[in-house]
Amino acid sequence: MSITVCEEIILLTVNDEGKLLRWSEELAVRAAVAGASLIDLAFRGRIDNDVNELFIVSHEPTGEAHLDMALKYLAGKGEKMPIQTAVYDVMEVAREIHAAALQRLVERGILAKKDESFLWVLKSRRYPPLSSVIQQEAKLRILSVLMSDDIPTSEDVALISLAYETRILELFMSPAEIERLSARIQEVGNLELIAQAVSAVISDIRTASPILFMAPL
Amino acid sequence: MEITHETIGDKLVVRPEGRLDSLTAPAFEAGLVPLVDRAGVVVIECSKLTYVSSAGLRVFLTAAKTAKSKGGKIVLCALAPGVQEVFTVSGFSKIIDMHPTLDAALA
Repeated sequence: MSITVCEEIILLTVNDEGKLLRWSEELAVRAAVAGASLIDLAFRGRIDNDVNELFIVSHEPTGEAHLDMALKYLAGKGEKMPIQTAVYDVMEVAREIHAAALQRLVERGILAKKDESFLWVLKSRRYPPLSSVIQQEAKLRILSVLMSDDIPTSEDVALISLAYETRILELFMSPAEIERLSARIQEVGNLELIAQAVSAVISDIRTASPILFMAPL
Repeated sequence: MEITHETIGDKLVVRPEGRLDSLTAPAFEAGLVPLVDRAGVVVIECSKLTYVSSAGLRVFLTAAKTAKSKGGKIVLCALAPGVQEVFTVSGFSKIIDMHPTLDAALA
């Protein structure tokens, strides 16, 4: 089953019980969702970029609600902009994109949606995986690329760069493992210019509000 | 964008010409990948490549992966300064061999 980079990155933030990263504190997830949406749009020929600017090349909907949300919002901001500006712009609707992508994962039968309530008041929502195959496959692809000198696919580059820059790698790799593979992570992660912009945005936010980047889950 | 090729010695030399962006990348990929799929070393002479966007970089990544899977490789040469910058900033210059001239690439 082929899913979007945005869905794949979100899937990596769901634990076995279906709990998500704490949204209120996780600006990293917003940046990851924004970056992944932009990369998905680039893969589908809706946007393109060079080292400086990102530009919309087609307004045609992709048929994926979460990506079309990002495309429409971005188009409302302009046809051409610095890549970091595009990341900041899409981050403004990242919560809605995140919800739509989660819903898509439910529709695909990858996650279930479970609401837990107490005295008829909704207390929490979980998304337990119905099958861990796709999540495990994503993790294995990442580890396989990082532990070899193979040339990665564009999809692998996107996943690795975003997962590293937003600390999602830390959810399934030990700090020692990340440290040991850091040269390869940098080499692969650098290959995606949108992910480089996500990294710069995260760095800016970390500098401005370091406390907002707390540990996940 | 146009793409021509010729064999020099035991190497295939491919010459793309024009802009490589989201509009031209599909045709470039369709022309390049079959060439790297059947040859050992493919030298891509880029002197007439005027612009490369991320969509273009992804084609080079696909071509490099395809070549490596067949035991070959792609080599880039004679990049214009603006195009060279894209490959340097994106880190592609670390995974794809690059040479300043065609002679150096063929040596």
